[in-house]
Amino acid sequence: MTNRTIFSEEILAAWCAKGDRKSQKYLYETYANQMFRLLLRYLGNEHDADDVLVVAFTKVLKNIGDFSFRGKGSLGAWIKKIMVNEALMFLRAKKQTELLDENEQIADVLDAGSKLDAEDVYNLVKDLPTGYRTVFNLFIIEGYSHKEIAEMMGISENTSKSQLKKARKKLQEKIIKTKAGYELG
Amino acid sequence: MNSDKLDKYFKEQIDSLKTLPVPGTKWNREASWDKIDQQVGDRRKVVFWWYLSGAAAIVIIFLSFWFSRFDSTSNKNPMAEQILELPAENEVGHFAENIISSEAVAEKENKIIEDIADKSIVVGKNHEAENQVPKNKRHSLVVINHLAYLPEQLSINQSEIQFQKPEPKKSNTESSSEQEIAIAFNRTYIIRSKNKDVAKEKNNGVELKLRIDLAMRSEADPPSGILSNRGR
Repeated sequence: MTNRTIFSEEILAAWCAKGDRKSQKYLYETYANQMFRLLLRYLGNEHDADDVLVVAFTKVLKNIGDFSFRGKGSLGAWIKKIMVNEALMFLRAKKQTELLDENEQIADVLDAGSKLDAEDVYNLVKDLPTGYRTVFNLFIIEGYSHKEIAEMMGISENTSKSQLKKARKKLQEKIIKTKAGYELG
Repeated sequence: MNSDKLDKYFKEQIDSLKTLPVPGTKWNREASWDKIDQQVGDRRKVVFWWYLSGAAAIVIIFLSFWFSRFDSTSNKNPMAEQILELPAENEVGHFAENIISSEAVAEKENKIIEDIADKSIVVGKNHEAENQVPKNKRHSLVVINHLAYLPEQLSINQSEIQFQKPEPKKSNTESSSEQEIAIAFNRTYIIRSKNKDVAKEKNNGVELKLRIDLAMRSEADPPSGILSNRGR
């Protein structure tokens, strides 16, 4: 870690834009874990997450001059947006966004879910099929609308909705299986 | 189960882990930084060299402009560096004695001058002491160029007058944006920036006007100095 104290995201971004290496490393250290976890949730494996993190963070540092400060947290949100876009581009390039077509009923799994810790929940999402996972992440975690997701992924809004529905169902199934696993010992 | 509750549950659980490292990961954060730093560092070098070359270009342009200006003023007159400065006051007598030691010589000289163009160059009283320009304000090249024509003109057109050329020395000159002042032949000349072809005496009472054109022809109003026999 660097020994510098950064009092403002705006100042940190300005220093990074000037090419100050210490500030750039501070920025990386501040957001690296968060963004790696985000990418892992989208991409499903560490290798891909690492590759995309390097590409996306390089892009962040090269384009940080375009960042405009809009209050606390805006820098993180801006970086996160770049990460998500890069993850989607990566998935598109690998043609991993194939959408599954399953039609199953949603079961009540809340009680089962409550037995899982946060890491288990995280891993459940991470292990979803790519198409489900992407829509689930964008809609539930990042808060994008179906319209935005449709634009970002190049699909229709209805497809986005149906993928989300299927993602939910898949998660419920997994939770039930996990519950069964817990119960079986 | 209500899907909204499930969504909320998942979001809360995942957000709670937001900044925590992934447990059991093989991901090497420092190695990733090294890759990023290498790529950004290349860009840093490019930006650095871009700025450096830009600055160098500006300096080169400035220096070329400066030296071209210097050269152009020098090329106008090969004698640019040979500014004449009359000897000190105690030497003026010697100078005058050698050149125009008698009234007859002075009359002859002025007649020749008048025959040529009814013009002459005036050597008057020594103003050097009172018009001494501080050393740090000397060497105005424009003034030097103009004044350097004087001895050349005299030596070419007035060969019969065996002027003893004073030793070329840096002239006492002073330059400002509006005018340039130089002392030559113990007189103080003013050359206005608006009309650099004409040099006027600083003391208006003397009424000397020196015109210098491309043909290197010097003109002056009727002389009033010691070369003149008018009024004698």
